[in-house]
Formats: sequence, C-alpha cells, structure tokens
Amino acid sequence: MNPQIEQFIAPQRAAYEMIKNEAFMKRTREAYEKYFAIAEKARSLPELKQLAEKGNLPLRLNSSPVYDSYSLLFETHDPNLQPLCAREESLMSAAEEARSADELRYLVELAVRRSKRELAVEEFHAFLTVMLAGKILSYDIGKANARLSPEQFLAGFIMMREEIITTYTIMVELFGLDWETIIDTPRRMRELLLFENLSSQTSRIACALDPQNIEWMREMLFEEILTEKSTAQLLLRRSRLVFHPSVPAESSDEALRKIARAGWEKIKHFEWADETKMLY
Amino acid sequence: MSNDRDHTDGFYTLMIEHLSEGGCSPHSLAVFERRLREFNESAGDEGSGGRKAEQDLVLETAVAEKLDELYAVARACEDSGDTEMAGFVRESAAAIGESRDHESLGKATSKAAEKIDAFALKREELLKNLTSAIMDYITILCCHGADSERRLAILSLDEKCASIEKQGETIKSLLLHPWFAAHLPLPETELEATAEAIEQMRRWPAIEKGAVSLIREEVKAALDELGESRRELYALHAEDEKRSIRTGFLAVSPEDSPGSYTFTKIWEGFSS
Repeated sequence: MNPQIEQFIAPQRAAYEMIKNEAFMKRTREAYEKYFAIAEKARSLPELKQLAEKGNLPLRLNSSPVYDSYSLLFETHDPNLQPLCAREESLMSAAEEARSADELRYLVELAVRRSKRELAVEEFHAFLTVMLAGKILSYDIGKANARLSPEQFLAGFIMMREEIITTYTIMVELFGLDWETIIDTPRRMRELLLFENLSSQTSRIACALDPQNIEWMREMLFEEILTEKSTAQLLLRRSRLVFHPSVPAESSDEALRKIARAGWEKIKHFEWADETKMLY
Repeated sequence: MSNDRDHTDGFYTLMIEHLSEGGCSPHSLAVFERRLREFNESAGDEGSGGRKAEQDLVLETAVAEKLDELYAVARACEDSGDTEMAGFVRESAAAIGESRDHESLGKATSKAAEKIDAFALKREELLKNLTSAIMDYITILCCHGADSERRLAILSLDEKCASIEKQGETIKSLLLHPWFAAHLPLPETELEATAEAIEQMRRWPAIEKGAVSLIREEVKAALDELGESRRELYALHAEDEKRSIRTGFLAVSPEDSPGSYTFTKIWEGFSS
C-alpha cells in the first residue's frame, strides 16, 4: 500500500480495531472494510479520496455507528415502550437518510429534540399510573387495617378512598387517562404490576406482580372506590377478587433468581444477550 | 500526476454534489466550490506559493466544517420550534468565522461549545426542577387535606420553586416559555393558572383544618354504621388473607411489535 495512504487511513484502522469484534456493529464493520479495500486498490491519496467519496464512504463511516448503536438499543427495548422505540427508529432513519455528515448531525439533533417531548409526556403518564396503582394498593392495606381495628385505621382508609377519587378524576379530566386507555396501553402494565427489569441490558424481561391484580384493581376502582357505597358498606363487602402481593422479603432472593433464570431462557436467542448483565 | 489532477477534480466535484444534496453545509460547500474553481484555473501550475495556499485551504476547510456543525444544530433547533436555542447557537458560532489560524480556531470552537453546553445544561436543570415541581403539584392536588403526605409534598414543591428562582427564573416564567411548556403535558390555556396555583400552594398549611374535622365526622358515621359487625369484619379479613397468594411472575414482552406481555408464574406462597 502507498505509504501516504497508509498514514492517511491510520485513524480509521484504529477505530476499526475498536469495533471489529462487536457483533452489533455490522454496518460499521462493513463500511470500514469497504474503505480499506478501496485503500488497497488506490495508487495515490487523491485517487483514494475520489473513490471513497464516490462510494459515499466517509459519510457511511459517520452514519453507520449511529445506525448500529441505535439499532442495538431498539432491539433491547421492550417493543411496548413505543416512545423510546420511536426515538431509536427515528435516529436509525436519520443515519440511513443523511446525505452528508452535517445533514446527519441535523437529522439526529432534530430526532432527539422531537422525541424528548414525547418522552416527557410519557414520563407524566407513567408517574400518574404509578400514583394510581400505589394508592389502590394503599387502599387495600387501609381496608385490611380498618377491618381489624376500625377506630385506629378508618381515617386513613377514608382518606385514601377520597384521594383515589381525586387522582382518577384529574387523570381523566387533565390527561385523558381513563381506565380503558390505561389498560389498552400495554406498557402501562409495567407501572400497574410494578415491573422490575431482570437485566441491565434490556427491558424485555421483568419480574412482575400477578397479572390478575389488574382485574382486582378494576373491581376496587369501579365496584368500590368510585361508587356511592358508604365506608361501612365497603368494609363489609365480599370482593370477588383479592390482591396477590409479591414474594415476601425472606424468599425474594431465591425467587428473583428463579425468575431471572426463566427470563434468561427467553432472551438468550438474541445476538446481543449477555448473561453477565442479568441482575439476579 | 495528471491522473492525480483528475482524481482531485473528481473528488471536489463529488464533494460539491454531496454537500449540496445534504443542504446543511453552506460553508463547506462554498469552500469546495472555490477550491474547484481555483484548482481548474491553476491548470497544474502550483508555483512557489503552493504550500502556503494549501495551508490556507486546510484552515478554511476546518473553519467551514466547524461552522457547518453549528449551522446544522441551529437549524435543527429552529425546525423543532426552539428559536431561542437556535439564536444562541448562531451567536456562539460567530467568533469561529473570524479565526485566523488553527490555534484561534481551536479556542473559538471550544469557547462556543462551552457556551452552548452551559446554556443547554442550565435549561435541562430548570426543566428537571420544573417537571418535579409539576409532579409535586399534582401529588398535592391528589392528596387529602388531612393526609400527612401533603406536608412533604408542599415542602418538596417549595424546594423546587426555590431552586428555579435561584437560577433567575420563576415557575411562571418557565411555564410561559415555549420550550419548557412543550415538554409538559399541560394544555396551553392552563399554563398561567397552573403557575398561579403553584405559587399559592407553596403557602398552603401542612394540614387543612376543615379536612380533619370532616374526616372525624366521616369516621364517626362509619363506626355508627358498622355497629356490631366487628366479628364479620374480622372474618372478611381472615377470608381475604386466605385467598391472597404471594406470587412472583416473569413478564416477557412481545418479540417485535407492541402487544400483550406473556406472564409465567415462577414462585408461589401464601401471605404471611
């Protein structure tokens, strides 16, 4: 190889060494390899520059790492996390559509800025859902306590019921988040059932509460809390469903390990899956 | 050598073509257009001034690249509706265009990057505090007047407002600022009223007197209604405890498009 070319492509060689064994950097690896193949053929630096530009390689060396990185992120996300997946997709599109390094910068910046708003709204919806779920769980504890010792715990139970009424009203009136909207949005299960990711690498597998609790929450909300029933009637009501709590603290390590093991079996087929990233 | 001239000519022509297509590199495009023109005019006679001219070209290209980087960012800000940031980026970029050598270019570039980063960081911190303040505001709205949690939420709200004021802004100034408002799910018509409500809320008492007496009345009414049904309440409690099973579930997301989760029960035991 022409020594001037050898010197010119040294930074690219160093960059290639850093990514060549990364499974997900497929496009980037291909772009570098194509560039090096041209460098082998070129007889002079001006020829290399012209051939590389003709194949759009300088741009591909810029855009491929963007595509590969966001493509990996996209794959590791739970597909229900639509605002997040949409951001990664828009960044992948930016990398594919850009016709110059500056246009790539423009499209990436624009995509990040637009998705930031979507993610901010999403954060509020998640916050409200967590708050509602937390209050319904507190209502259940309050009810149990009030049944055992009404004098001591009735005030807390009554307050929690009123708080849920207010919370739900605000969710519906200010944010358009009624129960149907919530349960028709699969990712809201993450907040309602207190999902806890099992791997630091992905949101595809999680430890969760019993999914029957969703129906129990619906029963509490629409057949108790939001009804005209008096406090005494609520306490004396035999519910169809009961809340199923999570694993008790004394068994949680063992249970989490079992759940994580089962979770790993579900993701191990992904090229990016790394067992050392499992949290339990 | 004449081959190299052809390659150089071809390279400049391709660069012009690609930069024009991208539409985000006006400075670099102008440099390459001039380069191509001068290259063709020189017709192989590089003369004694060749090295100096080459150095000038390298500097000119570097300056153009830096200006285009910021041009692209400013345009993205503009197109996403953030005219304030767009103006700030353009203003910060101005000194780069005046660079006379690589050293001054390096300094001007770093200075512009520092200014832009500091501006963006300040905004991010303000947005973080504003978002938390709005969440506290909602928490307080949802809190019962007699709930002790209300005190904590009011304190937290006041802290967030004070942090915002320390940075020279107010809840109202931020809520009425288009960039901040765009990151909140509040209707435009509610922004001013929300700002005023938050200001009042900061001075709310920890516990609302009327709410406490109301709860007392409700407790009394419930106790009267419950009358002699204590045994029934105990029985219901015991029955629910029996029905309540502690479980640990694995939730697996759908493979490649949104949809229902698959739940598998992995652990089961009774409530203690």
